[in-house]
Amino acid sequence: MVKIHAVSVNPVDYKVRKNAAKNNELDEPKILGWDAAGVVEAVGSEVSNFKVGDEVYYSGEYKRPGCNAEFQLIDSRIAGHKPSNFSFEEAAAMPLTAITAWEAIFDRLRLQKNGENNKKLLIIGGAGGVGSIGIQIAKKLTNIEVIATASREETSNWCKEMGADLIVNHHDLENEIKKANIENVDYILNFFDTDMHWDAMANLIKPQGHICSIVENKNPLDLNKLKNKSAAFHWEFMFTRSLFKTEDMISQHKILEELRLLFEEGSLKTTINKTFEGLDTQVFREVHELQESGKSIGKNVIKFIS
Amino acid sequence: MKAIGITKSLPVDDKNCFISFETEKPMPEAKIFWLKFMRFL
Repeated sequence: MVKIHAVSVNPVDYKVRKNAAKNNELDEPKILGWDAAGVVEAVGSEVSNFKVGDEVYYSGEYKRPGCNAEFQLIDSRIAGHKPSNFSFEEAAAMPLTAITAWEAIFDRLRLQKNGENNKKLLIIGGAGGVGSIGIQIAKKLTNIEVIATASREETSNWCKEMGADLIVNHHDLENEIKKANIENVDYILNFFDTDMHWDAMANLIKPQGHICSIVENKNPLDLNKLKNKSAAFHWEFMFTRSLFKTEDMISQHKILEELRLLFEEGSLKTTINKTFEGLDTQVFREVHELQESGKSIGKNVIKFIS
Repeated sequence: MKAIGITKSLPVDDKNCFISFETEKPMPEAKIFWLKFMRFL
């Protein structure tokens, strides 16, 4: 059981808010929130990797009560020790996006650590929460060239700060890539809009390349566009392991611990952008509004305890 | 404990889209066992 000091907000929060009680009023209030940092207050009898007083960070489980509360029960297999050089706010910004980016890069696209020289990765939606840490992880750990998309000066600068080698505008993606004298890319990570970029992704992917998306499509996707290229399409959903209680569920604890070391040695940095304060309904409204606008850069964090 | 939640799916511009409420503090099973044990004593 964790006493929560800070949480951050992700697109999943407003998607659940908008859909969980669309047709009926819930008997019991549903607690949202899937990114937190805090201090362990009590542990279950089978927990061996944490003790009371440990500072932790985690995302949590899709089907269990979320972290927008003073306390939360969390499965120790999906939590990690908070980076010691991070405040609770800086740590709360990271778990969901960092696990998503890590799983997309290493478990779905199967990039090799230090083994992707002379290859190119296109990240669509570079300035969002997942894009911001995805650029950093890919650059620091795989040696790949990262092309990120952004459409405003502010978001382009943010992507450069995260380490992207090249920034292109996603409004005219194929032409932007061609203008940069790039014919195709080995890998694509889509963190923005799958329907909007499907044709461009199919045209830009190299034969035998891999595409991974985290955004569900609204219309049917024409998978045949990938057939002649023998290109692969993958989904990434960071709640899969906890949702299905997969045998490798503890790998998210390991990912968070590996990330902790990278944060502590300064190889990766927090993607926190704005901090709000208070376990308060109006604060959550304000942050959800910002998140829903699609103009949010990096992560928005809410601090509960000063 | 205090928590923020929803009972209806409302747009963000509705000031009631979130509710603040009090609920029981969650407990890991070890703590529940000891509380029961203490009560038994």
